[in-house]
Amino acid sequence: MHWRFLNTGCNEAGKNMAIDEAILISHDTGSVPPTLRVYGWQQPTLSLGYAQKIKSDVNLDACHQYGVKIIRRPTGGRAVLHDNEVTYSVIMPTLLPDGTTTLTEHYRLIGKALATTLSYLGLPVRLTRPERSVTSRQSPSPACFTALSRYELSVAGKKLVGSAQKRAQHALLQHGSIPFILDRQLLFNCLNVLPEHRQELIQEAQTTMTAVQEVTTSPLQWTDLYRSLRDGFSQTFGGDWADAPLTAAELALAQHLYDTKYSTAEWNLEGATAWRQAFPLSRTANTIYNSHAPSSYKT
Amino acid sequence: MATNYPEDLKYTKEHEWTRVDNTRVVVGITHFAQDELGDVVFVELPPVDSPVEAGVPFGVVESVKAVSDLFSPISGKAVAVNNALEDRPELINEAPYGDGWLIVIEASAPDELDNLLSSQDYQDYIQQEQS
Repeated sequence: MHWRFLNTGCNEAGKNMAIDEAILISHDTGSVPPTLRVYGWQQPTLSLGYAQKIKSDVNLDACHQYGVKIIRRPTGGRAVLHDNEVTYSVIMPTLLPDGTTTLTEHYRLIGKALATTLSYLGLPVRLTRPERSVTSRQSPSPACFTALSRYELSVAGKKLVGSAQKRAQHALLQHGSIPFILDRQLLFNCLNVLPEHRQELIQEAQTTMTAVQEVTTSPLQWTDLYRSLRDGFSQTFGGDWADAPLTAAELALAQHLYDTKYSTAEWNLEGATAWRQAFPLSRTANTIYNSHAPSSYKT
Repeated sequence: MATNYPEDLKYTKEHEWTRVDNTRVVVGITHFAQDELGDVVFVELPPVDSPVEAGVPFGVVESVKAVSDLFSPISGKAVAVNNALEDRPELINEAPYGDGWLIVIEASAPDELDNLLSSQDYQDYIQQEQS
């Protein structure tokens, strides 16, 4: 399998999500190779899961006060604060060359690639699979890193990588946050929690969440993590790897998705249902793509 | 194992089941699908009277593991949706073939029903996926 490695640098939050979805659509239609992308964020951003409710989970005034942008992901899960981190996204076929096709196996393989990545940096990471329904319906926490639900990467029992997945017909997108520095105070300031519980939650997060600079004394840079991600994923998935940019079709599709989805209040603040009512024509994103697409990519 | 895939239903490779009554088709996701997804936390379904197209997403299901498109097995119109799932998405896990149904489609191209899999064919398919 031929893989693409892509570093799109630091972008505005909506552009980051638009690019991830554009790559997913493009790969789902067979026009670009499976892709590992690394990127950053122009300003601190609180990203929400697909169905997460702003009113119950987010303190909008605090986000405004602290200059934290809000974006809704195309993937599920809970709130993640993006700042001082490397974000990865992997877009790959749901049917791998070795016949792997199940969600559980995809999570395991991507988890293995991330564990390999972090071990290359000398981090004592563990990949664990919790029992089903450990916290899924019980935990009311709006924060991603406090919830365990799938193959998880931890160091000394604390979650280091938070990931979320979206599955299309033939391809999947999984993206995740690998924080270098974790500002738990800022995170819980931006979440809708009772003031009297905030410090307790922050203290609890000291025992459940961690960041790269809390688990190593090595002077690691973002570029070290970029290289290790590329090496970790190529070690796990094999194949041939090449650095390559977004195609013209992907760029056009990403712009369309930004203009009609990821920059809109309907999507980010009100949710998917309100967005579909306001932008029904955006369902034809594939039409925009197909007008620019090259001939089908063959793996 | 056989009771997880009732024989009176038809199935798709996208892990949906259908219960066919003339041209009215009830659709849900299979035991295999809900087991793979894990606990379902949110379901997004189309408004009643929405057109649906075979192989095209008609909605979204979010579980603790992933957001997944729901693909229509046939073309037609959604004549009923399971509103109970708004407050109780866990019905999909608890009763995927019963109270966890998703939509009812009035089929516009009944020939498409011939493309659906029998229970045995579907079981063979998922066995192949897992091996």
